[in-house]
Amino acid sequence: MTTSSDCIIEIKKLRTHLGGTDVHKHIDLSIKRGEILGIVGGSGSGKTTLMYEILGLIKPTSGTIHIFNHELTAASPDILLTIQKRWGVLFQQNALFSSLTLLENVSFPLFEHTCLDQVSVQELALLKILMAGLPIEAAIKYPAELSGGMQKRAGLARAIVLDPELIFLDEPTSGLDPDTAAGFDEMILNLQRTMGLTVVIITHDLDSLWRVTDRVAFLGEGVVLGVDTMQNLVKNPHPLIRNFFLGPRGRNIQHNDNKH
Amino acid sequence: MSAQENVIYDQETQQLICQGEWDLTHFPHLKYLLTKIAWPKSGKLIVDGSAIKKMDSSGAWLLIAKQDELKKHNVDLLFQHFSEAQQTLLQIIQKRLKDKTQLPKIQLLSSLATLGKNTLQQWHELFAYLSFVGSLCLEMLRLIRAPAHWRLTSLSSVIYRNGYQALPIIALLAFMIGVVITYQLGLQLRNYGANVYIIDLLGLSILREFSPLLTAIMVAGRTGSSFTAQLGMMTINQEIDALDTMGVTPGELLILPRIIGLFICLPLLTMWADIFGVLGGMVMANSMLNITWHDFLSRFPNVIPLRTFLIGIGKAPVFALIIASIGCFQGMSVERNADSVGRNTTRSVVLAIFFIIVADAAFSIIFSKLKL
Repeated sequence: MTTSSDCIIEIKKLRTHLGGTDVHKHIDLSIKRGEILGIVGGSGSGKTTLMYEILGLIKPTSGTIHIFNHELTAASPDILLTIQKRWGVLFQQNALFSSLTLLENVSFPLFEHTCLDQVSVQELALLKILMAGLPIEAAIKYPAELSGGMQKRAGLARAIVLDPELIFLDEPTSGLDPDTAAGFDEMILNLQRTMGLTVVIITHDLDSLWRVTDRVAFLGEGVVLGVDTMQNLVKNPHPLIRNFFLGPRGRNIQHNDNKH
Repeated sequence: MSAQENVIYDQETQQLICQGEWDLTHFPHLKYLLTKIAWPKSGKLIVDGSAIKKMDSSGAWLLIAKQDELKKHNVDLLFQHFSEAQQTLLQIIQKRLKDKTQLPKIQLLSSLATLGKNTLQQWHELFAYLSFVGSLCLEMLRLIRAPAHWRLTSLSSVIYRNGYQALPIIALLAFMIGVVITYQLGLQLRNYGANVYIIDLLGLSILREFSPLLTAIMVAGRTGSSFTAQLGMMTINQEIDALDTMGVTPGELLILPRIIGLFICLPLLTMWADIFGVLGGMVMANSMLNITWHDFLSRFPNVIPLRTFLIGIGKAPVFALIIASIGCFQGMSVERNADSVGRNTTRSVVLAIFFIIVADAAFSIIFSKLKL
């Protein structure tokens, strides 16, 4: 067994039965402290469900999830709250509160979970907004007034405002133009380096996978078909993985990568 | 200063030794400690970070903010012996804060300006509503000539959900109103021994006023709000835009079936309420005023002319148009946030009930002028 301090999340024998089908049959996965782990898989392979289970939003049918060395399904509300303060989440649709301005959105977790004075809250929230690469003028705007890319950045700013040890990113680069997406990748790497984050990133974006991840877990057929670095994972002979990475789009990227 | 403190200031060597945990949990305490230090008037100061166990961006921000503040008083802070990651963090924050300009203020309007703004807003909304009604009329004219575009499925589902499914609640409501009216009036009539006149009073008030008005108010709360919420969610979800791009106007598929559906339902519901209102009155008259079923039913057609019933029923289509058009208009003018759905749903119900009562008052005046 790996030492507990190495692993920030440890999933064992996870089974999920939803809507008459087994979404996950048997999932074993451990995520190490400080790494960037990508979770990929075809559409409907249960990537988002897995994230929701780690976040405690969906209860797995059986199996255990240990996070920060706490068993999640058996955690008392107090323990759950301390866990929740230590992670940040960027949802697929950003999930910004539409009735609050960006600054209020980002300062919300600070108001809820710390006892800072108003000025410090505002300054720290503004710092995170700037760190996420947003202009200061955006701070007083409502989410509906921001473009898609800015909304993603705003979601990220809110996810990192409590300086979490662990962040979850669900499709962070979907719907962004290649340039913005590349900028987003750099930002994630930057944040990871400076703040020592552990990042769990669910994505279909092969460019992102090559650029930012340390390891990638491939979900399919209800199990983890492979966990490895991108270089090794693309060599995996499993037909699902081959089709995913070596399809018409995947091959292209690998080709580019070889050229460098 | 005790040894556990996170900040130790050595005045002789001009050193500030930071230690322990510099994170969000200790932020208020750290901030307080930094204010307590007797900073020198000028010169250089070395900040030693070798003993810092853990530093996150809030701790780093605190140091950078202090550095900025002291720079204005000619005191330079130099960061030394920070780990590599901490140094990058400090640099990033330093760089970001340099970009930072003053947060633009949200301008607050004076009360007079607010009044003017609101007036203009209402004025614009009135025009928007009128053009909404106008475009629907045009849409209607277009559809009359194209029966293939009549959405009978949507229409029947509107009638089912907002007419048929409302039958029990409307019946119960009308029955209780009949009971209450008979009870209150019966107490007075009994004093004069004029028990039998309860039939006149009941028939007139229920058929002409109470049942159309109460049914309309009930339906405004039940149906008008659901129209607004449905269309509002569809607007937010871009479903309305999707329909528009597919060459199907939302008016044809969504709005007209709702308006026409309610136009058909509400008179029927009013008639339904008439029946139960009178029934409630009849039960009460029987038990309290000793008027037999037979007496009640044989006197009723003699004292209540058909006209009373028709006037009551005649108001219902107008109320239906008010409820459905306001409900749909508010739904279509939802902005893309959750607040707006709630606000517009409230507005939809309040405005509908308001205009129902205004219309009812107008009807009373018109009918009295016409001596009906």
